[in-house]
Amino acid sequence: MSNDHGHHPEPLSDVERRARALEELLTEKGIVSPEFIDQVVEAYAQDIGPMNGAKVVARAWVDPDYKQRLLANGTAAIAELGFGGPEGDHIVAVENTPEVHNVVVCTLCSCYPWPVLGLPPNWYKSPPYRARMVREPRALLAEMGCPVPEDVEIRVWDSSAEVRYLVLPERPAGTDGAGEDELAAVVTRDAMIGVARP
Amino acid sequence: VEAGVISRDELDARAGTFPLSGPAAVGADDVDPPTPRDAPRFAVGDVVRVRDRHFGGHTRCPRYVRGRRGVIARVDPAAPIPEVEAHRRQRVINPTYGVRFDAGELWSDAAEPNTVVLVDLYDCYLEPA
Repeated sequence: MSNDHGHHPEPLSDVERRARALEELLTEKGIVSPEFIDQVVEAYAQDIGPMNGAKVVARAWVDPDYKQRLLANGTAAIAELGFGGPEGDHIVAVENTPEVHNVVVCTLCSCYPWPVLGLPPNWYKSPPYRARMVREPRALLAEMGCPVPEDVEIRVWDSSAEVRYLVLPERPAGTDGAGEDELAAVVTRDAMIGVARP
Repeated sequence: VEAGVISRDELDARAGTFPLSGPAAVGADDVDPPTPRDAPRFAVGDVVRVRDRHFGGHTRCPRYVRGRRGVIARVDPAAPIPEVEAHRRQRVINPTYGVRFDAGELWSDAAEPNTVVLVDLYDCYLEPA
């Protein structure tokens, strides 16, 4: 805590006050139960997150048949590992190669593949990211610490309808002997959005 | 708030002020009568143009592709048309597509070289080009 003894909680921000007002009103009116909200928050805090996507990527790196299935039908291949659910009905996996770098954005809101990546980070929802990633992706990626050489094509995927995208990053050099768990540990959320490399 | 589940006053009373997006007053008649469509009108490789319509209500057609020419890159499952669902309260399905645009088509001389943008669009947003 930043204050002395924790006796004086920080005042709520505007957004927190609005979230609390909505939550109180919806529970008082019996539209949602507090237990339901707790369950959703807990699921996305502990069980559903980028560790799921990392397992998918690691499997694709070690198993060429799985990779083929993942690129042909992302939703089905991801379901093989037990992942699916809201915002995951139509997942398309796009593969980074030495010639192509893929990156994902939702210019209209914050569409994101929840079953494999969890809930989106704040920057993904920010208007500057959403505007600039379609207009000047190479400049923005460089600013974000992921420079892409001029001769590599950038493909920006704007998830403006039903499909949600997962980037399959390139397997890092020097990981030939690594097992699936070890590989999953190097796959970051940002690499699966396409704004970083593992 | 629009559906009357919660009132603006209730929100303001608890949160100080609770700014709402204040959607434009769009009526059901402002939305084109929908054409249900199961079978895709376009195939991978077809050249299409996004209809250059500027609509005040809810849409999933990003402004930056309106009027622009692209190529169908992927045919996706059909889904309810967002405008119709939002403003006519009907679920009328349309195929959706992944459509590929060259950066130059979208941003002209400000485009970064060697860049493409793929945007997912409903059938009714598109016309043959």
